[in-house]
Amino acid sequence: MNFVLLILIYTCLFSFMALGQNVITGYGGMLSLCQAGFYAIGSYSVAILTTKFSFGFWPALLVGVAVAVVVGILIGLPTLRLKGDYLAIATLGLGEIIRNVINNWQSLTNGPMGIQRIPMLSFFGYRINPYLNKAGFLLMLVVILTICALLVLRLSKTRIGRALEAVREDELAALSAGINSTVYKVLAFSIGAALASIGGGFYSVLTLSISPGTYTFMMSVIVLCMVVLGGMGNVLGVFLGALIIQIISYLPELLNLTNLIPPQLKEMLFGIILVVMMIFRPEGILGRSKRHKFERGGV
Amino acid sequence: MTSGFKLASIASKFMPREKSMVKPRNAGMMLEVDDLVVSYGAIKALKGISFGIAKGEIVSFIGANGAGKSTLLNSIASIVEKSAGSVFFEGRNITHSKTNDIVKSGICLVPEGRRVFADLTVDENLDMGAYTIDDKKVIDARKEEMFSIFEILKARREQKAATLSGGEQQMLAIARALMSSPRLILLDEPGLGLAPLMVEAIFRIISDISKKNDVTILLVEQNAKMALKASTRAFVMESGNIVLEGSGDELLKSEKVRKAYLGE
Repeated sequence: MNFVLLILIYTCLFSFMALGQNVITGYGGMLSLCQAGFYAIGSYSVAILTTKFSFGFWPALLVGVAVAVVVGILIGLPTLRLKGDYLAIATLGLGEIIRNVINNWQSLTNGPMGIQRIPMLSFFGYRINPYLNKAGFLLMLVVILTICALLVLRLSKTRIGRALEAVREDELAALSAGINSTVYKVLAFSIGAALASIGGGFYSVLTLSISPGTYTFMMSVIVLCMVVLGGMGNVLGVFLGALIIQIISYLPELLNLTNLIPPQLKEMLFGIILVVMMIFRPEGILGRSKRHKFERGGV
Repeated sequence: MTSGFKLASIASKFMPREKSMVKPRNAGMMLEVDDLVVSYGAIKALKGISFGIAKGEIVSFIGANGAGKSTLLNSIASIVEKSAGSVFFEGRNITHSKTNDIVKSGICLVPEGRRVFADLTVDENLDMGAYTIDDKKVIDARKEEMFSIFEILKARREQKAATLSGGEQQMLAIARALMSSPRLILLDEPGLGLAPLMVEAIFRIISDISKKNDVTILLVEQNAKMALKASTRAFVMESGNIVLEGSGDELLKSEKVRKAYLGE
């Protein structure tokens, strides 16, 4: 039971990244591969601020989100004029740079040793011990994730969502309709970064000990897989994709077959899933969510 | 005109006017293009083009593939970067303005190849064209106006743009551009890939909106005959230069144009 709860908690953490990826790729049409980098920024912000500067978890999380947004904007401005594969390569590089900076900035991040003894978080004065109270931790994550998902859904129906759709469909036509495509791309990119960093922040108070080895390129790829599998531009699809990928990741453990199935098998399975999906159902399991009539005005 | 037009003209009065030290040769015109150069790497697509357009004119640029016609429109709209030269619109220097600011100042580009938003309905495409307008009433009024000009679009209101015929898509692209109440429209090959009857219909509409809606039009076209017939003035372009200039009728009669572009 504890194990199932843990898988669900990880599904939620990955869902934050996947939700962000959905804003970047599903709504904005940009192929980005650095969600793990922003996840790392969230994790390390929380870890460093709570251990070294005696911040509470929630203010530390806010700072982490702010750092991710600033990095997103600084990197987004020069790179988002790249298209397709080129953007993917540039963002892949960014993810690796973030990981390497963390690995080598010994004085701040403690390098490859990572940061231990991260204080547990408290939710409205109620301390949540991730080892003893997994259900409580999960419940809290689900609540926050739902709020984020509703905000993302809301966003897709505003002027911003409409502009992103125009930019994704045809940038030239969007430009000639008077839409400043750069602004909206950078916006989508930093919203995606912010969501990933929230997930990262919670990861820190889940494991209470982090190290740079977690935030690999493979993590970003898995996040992209989740979005592609569930359906780009579909918030429900994102969660479905995250859940399926997580279950597959832990399939050997779930079936008690760890001595039969090697752990490397899961990467193979992801690859097969991606190829099969691209051939038979490129729009994902759920497909792009049906557009509602745009509401004008308020953002 | 509708209140959208009024709003735009009031706004332009309060906008700061940049002053240039060099007075362009075509000063006093609505659009003044002076010595415009555009390079793609080592290749010069435009080699110093200068011309002016007065309010109310329909001006066309004709020329072969690769003469620089589309580059000209794209560089005026700042979609392509200018290497040298200047562009003034209604006395304001827009040489280095961003595309979205240029649209707000009253110029709208209809890009080549009917770039409608295929997955959006006709209605939503028009909404998208009114992106720079905030007042819903103005937008609805503009839409009704568009439906009175392009009746076929009204019947197709709820249909996805992808399901329209080529000609209908071109009409939608023009209607979408008109939504922002531009005072100058840049039309890139409006007749491209359309049936001859449809081309005629499109050009009739272009003449109509120029008169009725008080819009100045700059178009580039390979279909020289149609373009020259519809235009008050025209330029012939060859490999990045203007080689000939005259009224539409003059050029239709010109020996050189007849041989090179009308296939006679």
